[in-house]
Amino acid sequence: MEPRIRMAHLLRRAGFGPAPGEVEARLNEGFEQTVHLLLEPGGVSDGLGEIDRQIGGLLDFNNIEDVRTWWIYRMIHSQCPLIEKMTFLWHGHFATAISKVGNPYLMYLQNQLFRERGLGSFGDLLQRVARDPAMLVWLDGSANRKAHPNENFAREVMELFTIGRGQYKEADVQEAARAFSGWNLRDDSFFFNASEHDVGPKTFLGHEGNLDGSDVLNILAEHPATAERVTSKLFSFFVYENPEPPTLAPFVQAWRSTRGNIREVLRAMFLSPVFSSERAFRAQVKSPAEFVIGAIRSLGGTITPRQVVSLMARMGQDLFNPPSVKGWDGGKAWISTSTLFERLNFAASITTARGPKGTSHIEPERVFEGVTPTTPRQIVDLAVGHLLDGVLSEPTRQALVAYVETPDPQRMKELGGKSPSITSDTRTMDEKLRGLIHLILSTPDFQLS
Amino acid sequence: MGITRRRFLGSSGATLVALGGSGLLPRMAAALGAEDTGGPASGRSLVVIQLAGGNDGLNTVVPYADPHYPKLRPTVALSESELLKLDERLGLHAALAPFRERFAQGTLAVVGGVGYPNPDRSHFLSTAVWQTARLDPYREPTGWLGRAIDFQPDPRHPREPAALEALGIGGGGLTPALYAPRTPVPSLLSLDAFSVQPDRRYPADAGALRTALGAMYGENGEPAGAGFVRQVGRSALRSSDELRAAVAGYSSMVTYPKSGLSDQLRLIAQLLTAKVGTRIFHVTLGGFDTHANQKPQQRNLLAQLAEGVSAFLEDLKAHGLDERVAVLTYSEFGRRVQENASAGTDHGAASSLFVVGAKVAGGLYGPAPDLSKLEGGDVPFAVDFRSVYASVLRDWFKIPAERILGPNFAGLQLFRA
Repeated sequence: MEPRIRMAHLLRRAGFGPAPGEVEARLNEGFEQTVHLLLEPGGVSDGLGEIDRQIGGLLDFNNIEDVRTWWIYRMIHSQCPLIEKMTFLWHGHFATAISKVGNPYLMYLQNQLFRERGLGSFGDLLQRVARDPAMLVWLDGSANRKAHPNENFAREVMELFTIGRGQYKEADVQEAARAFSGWNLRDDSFFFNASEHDVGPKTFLGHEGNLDGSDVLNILAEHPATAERVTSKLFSFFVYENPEPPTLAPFVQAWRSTRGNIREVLRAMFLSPVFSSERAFRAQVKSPAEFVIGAIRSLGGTITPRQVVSLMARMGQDLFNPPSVKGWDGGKAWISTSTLFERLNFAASITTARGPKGTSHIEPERVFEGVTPTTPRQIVDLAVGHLLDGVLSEPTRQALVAYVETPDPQRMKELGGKSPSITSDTRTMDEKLRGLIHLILSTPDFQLS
Repeated sequence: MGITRRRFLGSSGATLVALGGSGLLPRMAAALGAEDTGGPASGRSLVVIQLAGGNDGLNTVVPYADPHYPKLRPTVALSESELLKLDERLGLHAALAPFRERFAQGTLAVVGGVGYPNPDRSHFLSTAVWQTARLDPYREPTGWLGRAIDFQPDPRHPREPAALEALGIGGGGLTPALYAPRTPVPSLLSLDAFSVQPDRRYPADAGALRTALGAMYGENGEPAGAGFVRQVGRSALRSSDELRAAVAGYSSMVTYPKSGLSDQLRLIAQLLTAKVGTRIFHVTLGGFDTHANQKPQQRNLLAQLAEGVSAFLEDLKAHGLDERVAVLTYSEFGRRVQENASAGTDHGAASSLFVVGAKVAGGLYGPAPDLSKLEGGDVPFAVDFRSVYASVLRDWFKIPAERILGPNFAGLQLFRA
């Protein structure tokens, strides 16, 4: 990959895509330094503290729509995009849905947990997720009593969050459920109810003793199958799906040598040649969040994020409401005829929406990056350069050029039968540039990351 | 001008990807067509209407003769002038007058006391129970209608799904009732949402936009690449054009009332008359969560339901399709018998539902509620909702219900042979 494409690729995968001018700015820092900065923002503020203060009074975190709006705002505007991307990844991994939790504030708290701990030790994150109030409601932890152990969390923590099916037996589920008995909620907070905790001896995955929930989670976090399974999930999310074991091996090794430090596993991934390989480029279908947020960011958009919530739900991703504890299926499942039409409709609405006095929700001319184009071909090339790294097949490009060159019949009539000149007729430039962006966001290529 | 199923498929080409398809494989376009398979349920369709929010079954099918009814509901109870008697114990809400007529004609089944064991009062969980037909709905996120769509009578000779095997109508994504493990089911808010949208300021540019989209997605054979997204996109553009053509060919003498539900039912009638092969439709009418000031709200909603469904069935009759369509309503739960302090009712348990259509075996099913015998303030369930589903699957679609629902839901027979 040439440096500019490689940087844009990194910003799409480790964030929600570049904003206008961001690729050049980051190139000045260099690829490696950008990776380090994404992983360790340290001194960099996410730039949202003041926003949080200002909108604090406008939003009600007891309302899930407000919590969604707040998160989408962060995805669009955060100066620490990888933090939000990890929050997004863990939301899909430890998939918890408002449909059952019922309490939006608990969903917000879980989201903050992913934000604050999502790049640290997996074992630490797992311990906190197991005590997270939304999770305790979601997987019936609060119904887990000594006399009637509830196996819901015990099963899913193994099947979905750590070691995966085939690594445990039903007896392990029952023993783990006993270990988690008494992990309850009180006043919407984690509460260890000692009188409901089973203190008897247990045998779990070959370990014996008076194991409690923490012990079970430690055993799972240290389990070799967890290293492989979660590393594979990270690779599939950030690089490409279904990696071969030898490709994955160095990253599993990074996990082992750091005892599951997510930051170090990702550093190894981003800096590896495979991350920047041809196979990785546009190897993934963008999730609705990546598609929508990426489009808004690339166009310097100020579209009201509130609208975006329902648009994304119609594309199949209702944030804070995954369809099951398995999360979203993702990949090719994102694209169906109806969800693809929703993407096309979004492309139409973001390019045509109007604010007061004709102000725009996006700035179409940002795609020119300061250059003044003189021909339809140059208009298309600049826009494709900005939105698609300049990588688009020639036939598709020609279809776009033909669109820009096709005169609007209404405008021709107004001009007494003469074809309008796109470079001198500002109305035609506005029409065709918005239409062109609508089309580029609708290309098959833009659906891929 | 009607468009036939053959024309729909023929003009789409033999490699039409199922509408809503994930596009993983081009399907053979259901070349024979669901309509022409010749099976016992050939050409039959089901329209499922969700009454979201928890419809008050007791004020829908009213036990007016039970002395506890007015006592427990001093403000919410319906007076005799507000209902239409079905027999000496039960009456329909007066807003359901069109349903009362169909009851007299023997084409409306009223099923009372429908619910499930250990009912949950959460909207979300109980809705999930009804939509998955599982009492532990989060274990298996597939819908009962989705599983029915996927059902293969003979796995050795898999039946190819039709282009529009099932369709969810409404915003907010596909209803979980239609989640199918194998068959992709589309949902659409309206035909407009399933069409290319031009800029409102430049409507004359629509043709150029559509041409460019077609070229980008390779409608003319070029260009290749970007694999399956392109394939799905081609199918989407083509299906959109075909659907619009199908709808353009529809005409009707029936006037539908003005309501969102009626608009959706008319769209279904348009698709049915165009014979695109859709077997299952799901629509939602919301607003039944009547915690406060219940009477005017519920009256309005039930009127929308009965008038909309009635117009829809009249329309189908005029097109000679009334014997091929059945309508089923459901709601996640009924409401508490004792009214609350806000002239409303809170979440309850068992409720009542309707099955209506020319081939429905009309009448009353399930025992009349006995308000002297409540469980936790609720009417206990007498009919498991899955036995209603079982009758729909077995008697209407002629597929073995136990393969979709599990065994033990026999008992109801809601359709005439």
